[in-house]
Amino acid sequence: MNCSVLVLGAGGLGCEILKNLVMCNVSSIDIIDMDTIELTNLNRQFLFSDQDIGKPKATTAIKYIKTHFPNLPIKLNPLVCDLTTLNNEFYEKFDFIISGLDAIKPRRFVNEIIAQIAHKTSFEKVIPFIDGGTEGLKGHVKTIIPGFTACWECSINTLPKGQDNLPMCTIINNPRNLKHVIEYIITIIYPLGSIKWEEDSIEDNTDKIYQNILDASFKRAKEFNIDTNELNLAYVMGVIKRIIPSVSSMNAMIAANTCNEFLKIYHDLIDVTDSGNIQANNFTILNGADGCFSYSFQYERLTDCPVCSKLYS
Amino acid sequence: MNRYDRQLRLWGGAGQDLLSESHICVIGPETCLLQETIKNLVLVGISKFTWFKSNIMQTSQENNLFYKNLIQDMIPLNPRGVSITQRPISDMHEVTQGGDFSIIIVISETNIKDDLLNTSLSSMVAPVIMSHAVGLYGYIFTKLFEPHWIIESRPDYEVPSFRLESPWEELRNYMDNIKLETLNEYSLAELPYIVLLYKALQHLHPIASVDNKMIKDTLTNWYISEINPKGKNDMNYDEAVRYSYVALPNETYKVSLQELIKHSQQNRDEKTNGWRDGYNKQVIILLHALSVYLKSNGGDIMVNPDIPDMESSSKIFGELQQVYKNKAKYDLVNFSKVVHQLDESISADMISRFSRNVKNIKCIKPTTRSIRDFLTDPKLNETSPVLSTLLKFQKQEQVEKTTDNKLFFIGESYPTASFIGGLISQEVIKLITHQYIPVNNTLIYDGMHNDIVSFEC
Repeated sequence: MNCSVLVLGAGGLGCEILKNLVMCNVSSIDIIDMDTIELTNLNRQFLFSDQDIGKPKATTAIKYIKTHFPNLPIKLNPLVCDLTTLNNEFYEKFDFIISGLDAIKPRRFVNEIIAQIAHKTSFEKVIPFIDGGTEGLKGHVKTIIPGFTACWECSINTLPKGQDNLPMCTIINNPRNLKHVIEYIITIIYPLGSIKWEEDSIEDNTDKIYQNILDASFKRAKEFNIDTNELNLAYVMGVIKRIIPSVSSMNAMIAANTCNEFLKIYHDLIDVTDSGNIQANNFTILNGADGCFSYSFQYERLTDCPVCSKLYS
Repeated sequence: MNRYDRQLRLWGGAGQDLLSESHICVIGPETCLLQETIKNLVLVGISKFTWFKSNIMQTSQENNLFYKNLIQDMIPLNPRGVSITQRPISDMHEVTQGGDFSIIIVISETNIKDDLLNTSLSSMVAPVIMSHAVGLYGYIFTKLFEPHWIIESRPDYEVPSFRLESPWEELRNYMDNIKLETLNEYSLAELPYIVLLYKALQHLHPIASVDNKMIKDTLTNWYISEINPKGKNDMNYDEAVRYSYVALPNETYKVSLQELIKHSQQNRDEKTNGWRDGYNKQVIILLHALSVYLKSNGGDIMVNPDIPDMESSSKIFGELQQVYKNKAKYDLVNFSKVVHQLDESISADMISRFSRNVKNIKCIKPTTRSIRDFLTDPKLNETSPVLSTLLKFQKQEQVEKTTDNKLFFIGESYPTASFIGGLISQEVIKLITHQYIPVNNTLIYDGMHNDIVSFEC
């Protein structure tokens, strides 16, 4: 397949997407991720192994592919940086963007960039943006073609509201469970924002910070008579990092779904009507907790979307 | 930190133990679908595989494999070690003759031995998952030879049982000691909403059949008008109105629970030659114990020790939670006694997980259709033309290109194999851990329309 694809994220979804694109013989693949490999990634990020812990994800993923396919006629390029620091000129080089990110901010950023590119070039350059996400045994895929489908911003209201935002009054005066206790410690006692993680990224120091938070949590839980049976380092980190569960099976399914979307657009299997609309289900949600359920539908664009409405005027 | 931290959050240590002890049987040629399935299973921590490998290579597959040396390439993915024992496909009959397999996965295999095709429901064979993928399409079919019982089905939302309508002594005393008329507006605002609901029920007493609207009306007309006129904007009042239904006795789960108990008794009568899966056997004993327990406890199930968070002062919430914990502990001791009279070998952990999940228990009945019937029944074409075409491809029969099936001929899609590989491994995980609900029993993936259809066939 003669085209240039940018993969956002080299985590659970990113590894799967990269592998799928290599197996589809895509001629040029760039993959971008600013993170390094951690032990807890290894239950699904199959391009990494134990000796890779601490190394950058993007370069390690590409190295795996190059080692296992020494004569591959594919241009592979890893980027270890924050994707929101790159400009339009960088993104313009690609024919497709497939994302397997876990944060909202970079997705909004890329969505806006591709809308700008479509606008600026008067639709000479339209970069489809296919976005996958998972949480445990659930996942979603959104296909965005600027000017033809709803954009990422159009559906921003469908995101779950931050239920984790507990009222301060509960955290300070009426803690009732371990989450409330830990939230207090990381907002009041050791405010996370003020901890200098980067400056001293030695593993020992990070462990010490978590240990301090754990100790303080035990103390406060005792004060309020809260059961500490479940309280340990893993629990504290789960709350601090807002860890979402993740497993190889659902990762593979969602990543595969994004790549099938890519194949369909590339091979012109998606119908566009005369009015310029896409006749396809651009949103898919998948849930494997009770049987396996999927719901695909055409998400309509928001006529007053702050990002993409200018493409239609 | 644990390597499996992200998935332990989905099925816990007990589920992970079952996975790491499991033994997977794979039957089929080396295809990308087979590689993808094994890769996902190795990643979740499974280390023992037996692969009955057929050497018939399907067209164009050889160049399309991600792993050039599958057995070697799996080693780094599980530091406990990965053992994939290869056996010639001619030994496939061993699968139905004993064998300690947890699951049998048949991938894209054409020649399936009669032993497996005709296996009857009375045999001690592990669940079989059949699968194949072509173009943007794929299927899985799960054949169960014995009922599959699940304790932790893990629904997204569970209606808590607070027992406000039938309180035990300690709960009643705790609630009755709270005198609303002696509290000022600030103290009233600190009460958990279930206290307000309990009081509303008391106020309605002795009306026999209370409904949701009556509770809501009582909250407005009595609690707000007479007790706490300034409480309209309190968060606990808001929650009481929102969750007023929890004050009503929940009869629906009791009915379905009785059905499950009846079903488990049938299982007990039928399974005279024993169970293949020890987990199922334990659930049957636990349900037997539950029926005994319910009879001597007025039909009330064991109280759950965890109550959901609710707006309240730390103190009252903590006290109330303790009331539930005490009762849960007491119930668990009594229930454990009943269980151990029937079978002493069931672990405390298993009994405790059962007690907490009485309302979440599910059972999938054995599949009546034989594998032979699934592969050959011409009627399947009417139910699902896509499935019928997939099976023709799997059996390497001639498929004529028509306008209806032209999308099967657009060439191989590696992502489709990857999707189905993910799906198979997810079903394997659910079946082995006995958590979450497996597909019952056929699923068709249509990547062209981003569509998944599942049905019982």
